Amino acid sequence: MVLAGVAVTAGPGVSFDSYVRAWSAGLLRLAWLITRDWEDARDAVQDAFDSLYPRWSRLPEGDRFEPYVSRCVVNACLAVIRRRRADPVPDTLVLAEAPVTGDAADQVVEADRLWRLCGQLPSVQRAAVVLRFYRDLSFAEVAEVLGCREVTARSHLHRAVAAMRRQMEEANTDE
Amino acid sequence: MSEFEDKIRDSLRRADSEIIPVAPLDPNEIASRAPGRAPRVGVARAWLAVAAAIVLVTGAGFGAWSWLGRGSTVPAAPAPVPQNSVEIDVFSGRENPRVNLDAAVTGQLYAMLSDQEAAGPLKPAALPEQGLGFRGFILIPADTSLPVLRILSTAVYVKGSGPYLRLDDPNEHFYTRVYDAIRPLIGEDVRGALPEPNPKIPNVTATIPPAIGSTAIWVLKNPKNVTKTSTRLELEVTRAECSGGKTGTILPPEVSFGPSGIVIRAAAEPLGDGSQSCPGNDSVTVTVMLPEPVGDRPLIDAACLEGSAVRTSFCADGAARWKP
Repeated sequence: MVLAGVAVTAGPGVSFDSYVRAWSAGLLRLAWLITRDWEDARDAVQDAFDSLYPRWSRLPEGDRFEPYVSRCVVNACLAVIRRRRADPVPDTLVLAEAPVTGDAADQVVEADRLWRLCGQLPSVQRAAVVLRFYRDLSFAEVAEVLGCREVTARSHLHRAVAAMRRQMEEANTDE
Repeated sequence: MSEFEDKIRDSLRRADSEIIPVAPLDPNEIASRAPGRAPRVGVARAWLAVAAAIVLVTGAGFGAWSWLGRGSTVPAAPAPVPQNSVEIDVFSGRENPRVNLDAAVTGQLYAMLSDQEAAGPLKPAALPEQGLGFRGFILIPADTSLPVLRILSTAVYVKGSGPYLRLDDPNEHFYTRVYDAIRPLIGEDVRGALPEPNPKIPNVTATIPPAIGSTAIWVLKNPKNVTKTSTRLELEVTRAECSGGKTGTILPPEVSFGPSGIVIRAAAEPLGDGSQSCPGNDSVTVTVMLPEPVGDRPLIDAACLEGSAVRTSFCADGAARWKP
């Protein structure tokens, strides 16, 4: 499994201390993409680590370790969203500039629009989209992290992408 | 991956360049706050020392010294592995029974909850009156990041930090799953106090994947055969979206009973990636067994009440597929 472009080799063999220091920033970004709020993201990752710490030495090993941690974080995100009961939150984000080519202005506008449409998805669909397109997970891996069957994960993604595509087309038509 | 999906990826990837504006997580703080084993061992040893001192003071002699020596070197017992458990809230004046719940069933329940959440928000609600008799299965997950659930026959209450959130479950999907899983683990006296679950609804004679998917519409295969006493319906289900002429696998229909109608939603298994040609799709026959007769209620296709099919020719004649 790949985390933010780097192969993950961590597991229970890695100390809790080392893992938190090395990977919490990546998990915070993942949680932020799902919760769309940095404070909520931090709460979620902290809740996840709170639950993981007492059983750190007994966590699954090898390839199952990273999905397990991700699943805890995603579940914690969904729990935080459920608690705040206002989803999605108003999106006041101004994205950092990224290098673009071609018609730069159009691409930035399009990326901003997609970002916001993703933020308006139901939380589980949003989590599926983030895992699939940000974390580059396969359908099976998305299902494992979400704790559902692969067909369910595919359905979440299918619905999410279809909704985003439809709204993009509507927005383009309005213009 | 399509060009559109690449654009989604690019829009999300830009988050990598965001500066994280919250304090980094401190593993020491987490460790000190969590109920870890190290502090417990210290407490256990302190109690052991006190106990040993009492034994010494009361003159237990050399044996006590041996016991003390052994006790101080015995490693702390490993912490029990957290288990998902269900408390059956049914008794008054005696302790409620509590049993472990299979991890796969637990995962299925929370996945169902997530699916429902995706369909619409849960509603804040107070718990119903807590009288005598069955008051719910209280599902306590091993994963503390998940909420505790109180599962009644036709509703699920989600315990968060605020008020309960209620999810209606008229078809008893949650209750039936827990009931089936714990039935072999509970005594006759407890079993007798629980509501009997309805027959599995719907009982569909087709491959049964989860009840979500792509929009499909249905018509009755033989509408003239349906009467007020019918409990068996044969549906011809057709996928609404382009699918190369094939409807494919149908997911289990969802049935909702109301006083003024019976609403049935059929859905097709989501398609994989890739574009599809668009000839008319074939239909697939699905049998739905109702737990009660149709009665004086019309049979309504949910796909014609909301969603992408409402304005299509499939729904040109309205949502009702049969009227008494």
